[in-house]
Amino acid sequence: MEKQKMKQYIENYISEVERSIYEPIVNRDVRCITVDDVKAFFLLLPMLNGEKWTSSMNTAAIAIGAVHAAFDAHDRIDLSDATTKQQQLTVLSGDHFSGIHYRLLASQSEYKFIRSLSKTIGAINEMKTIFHEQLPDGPGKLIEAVRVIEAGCITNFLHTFGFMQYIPLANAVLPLLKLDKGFSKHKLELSTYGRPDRTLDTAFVDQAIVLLMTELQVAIVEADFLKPFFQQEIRNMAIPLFDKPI
Amino acid sequence: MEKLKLITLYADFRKDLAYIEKELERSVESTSPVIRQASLHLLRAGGKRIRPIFVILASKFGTYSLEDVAKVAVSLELVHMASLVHDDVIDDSDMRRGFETVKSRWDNRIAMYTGDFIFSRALTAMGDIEIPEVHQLFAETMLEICKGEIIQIDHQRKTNQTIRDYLRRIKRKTALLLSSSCELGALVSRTDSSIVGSLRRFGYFAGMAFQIVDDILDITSTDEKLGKPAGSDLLNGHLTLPVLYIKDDLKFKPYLERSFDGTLTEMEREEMLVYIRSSGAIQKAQAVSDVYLRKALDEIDALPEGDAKKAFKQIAAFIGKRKY
Repeated sequence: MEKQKMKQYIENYISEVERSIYEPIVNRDVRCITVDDVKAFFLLLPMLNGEKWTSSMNTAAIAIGAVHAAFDAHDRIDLSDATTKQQQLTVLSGDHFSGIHYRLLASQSEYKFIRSLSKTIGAINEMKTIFHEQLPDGPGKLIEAVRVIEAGCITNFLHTFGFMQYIPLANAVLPLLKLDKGFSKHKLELSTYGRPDRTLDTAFVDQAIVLLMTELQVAIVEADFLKPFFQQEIRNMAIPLFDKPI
Repeated sequence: MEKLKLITLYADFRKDLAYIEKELERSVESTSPVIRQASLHLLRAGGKRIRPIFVILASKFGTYSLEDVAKVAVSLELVHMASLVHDDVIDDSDMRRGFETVKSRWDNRIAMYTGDFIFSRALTAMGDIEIPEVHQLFAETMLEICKGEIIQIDHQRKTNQTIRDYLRRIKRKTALLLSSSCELGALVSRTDSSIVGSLRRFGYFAGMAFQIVDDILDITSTDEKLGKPAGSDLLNGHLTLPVLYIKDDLKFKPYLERSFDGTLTEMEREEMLVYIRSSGAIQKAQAVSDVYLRKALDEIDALPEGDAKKAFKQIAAFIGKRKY
C-alpha cells in the first residue's frame, strides 16, 4: 500500500515536471527527456515521510526537475559536432528547461532559493568542467565531484526548506548509484561528464564505493526520523548493486 | 573608427559602464580555470555593451542606484553571452568578433558548461533584486529568446518563409532583450509607468532596427570587420531580410540551394554576396530598418528631457548607420 502510494506520488511529480517543460518543437524532434525517479524520490522524501509540504515547496521541487532535465539535455551534446537538427534542438531544449526553472521560482518570489540554487548550478558546471579536463586523482575527490554533480540541487532544496536531516541520505545514495552505474554496469555512463577517451582508476572507484557504503550505513542508522518503509526502500536501492545487505 | 564613435556616445556614462564591466568580470570568477579563462576570453572579446547602456539610460528616468542597475545590466549581458556560447555550438562557429570561440578553443562540452555557468551567474546577480515584476519579465524574456531560437532552427533551410516570419523571429531573437533591457532598467529604478511603456517600445523598435542592420552587415561587410565569414547567416541556413527579397530570383536560387546544402565554394560565396549587394535587396531591407528607427525616435520624443534622452537619440542614430 505504502509502496503504491509512493510510486503514485513520484509518477505525478514526473508528469508535472514534464508538463512544465513541454515545448512542442522540442518534443517532436528531440529524444524524450527523462526525469530520474531516484532523484525524484529524494526530492520528495520529506513529503512522503509526512513532513509539512507547501505548494511553494512543490513548485520549487518541479523547478529542480526542470534543472535536472536541462543538465540531462546538455550532457547529451556531442563533443565535436552538434550540427544535426536534433543536437541543435537539444542545446536549446536545455536552455529552455533552465528558463522554465527560473520562471517557476520567479512566480513564487523565491529569491533566496533563486540565489542559492543558481550558485549550486554554477558549482555543478564548474565541477563538470574540472572532471572533463582532469579526472579526479583519488577516491575523496571522486566522491566530492560526483556528489556535487548528482546531489547538489537536491541537497540545496532540502537545506533551503529546512529538511537538513535528509541530506546525508541523498549525499550517500546518489553518488553511490552513479558510481555503480557508471562503472559496474555501463562503463561509459560516467563519461557524460568526463572525456570518453579517459578512464578512471578502478581502484579509486572501488574505494569510493566502499566509503559511500559506510556513509550510507551511518546515514540510515541516524535516520530515526524516517518511517521504516522508507529506510527499507533506501536499503533496497543499494542491495541489488552490491549483493549484500546493508 | 566606428567603435570609437560608440565609445564617444557612451562618454557621459563611462564611469557607470566601467563599474558594470568590473562587475561582469567579478561575476564570472570561477574555481574552474577553464571556465574562468573561457568567460574572460568572452568578456574581453568585447561587444557593444548595448544592453548594459540601455539599462543605465532607462534607469536615469527613475530613482537611480548604480548598484541595482549594475545587477540588472550584468544579468542581461551574461544571458546574452551565454546564448552566444551555445549558438556557436549550434552553428559550429570557430570565430566570433574576430576571436576563437569557446567551442573551437576547447570543445562543445566545455562550451555547454561555460554557457550554463554564465547563465547561472546571471541569475545569481538578478537574485539580489527583490522586485517580482523584474524577475517575471526577465524569466519571460529568456524563454521567449529561447523560443525564437528553437523556431529559427525549425525554419532552418526552409525557403517558404515570409517577411512576417522573419520579423517575428528577430523580435524574439534581439528586440525583446533590448526592450527588456529598457523596461528592467526602468523597473529597477521605480520609474513612472507611463515612461516605462515608452522605454519598452523604444527598446523594441531600436532592437528590430539593430537586428535588420546586423543582417544587412552580414552581407555588405567584410570577413575582417565581421570577425567571421560574410554571409554566415545563409551558410548556416538562416534566411534574413535582404535574402527574403531575392530568394525567388532565378539567378540567385542556385546560390541559395548550394548555401543550404553546404556545397557553395569560396568563389561562389563571394559572387553570391556581390549579387545580393547589387540586387536592390539591401536598400529594401534598409528601408524597413529606417521605419523601425523612426518609430524608436518617436518613442524617445515622449520622454522627459535630459542627458539620457539625448544619449538614446544618438544611439538610435548610430544603430541606423553603423558599419559593424
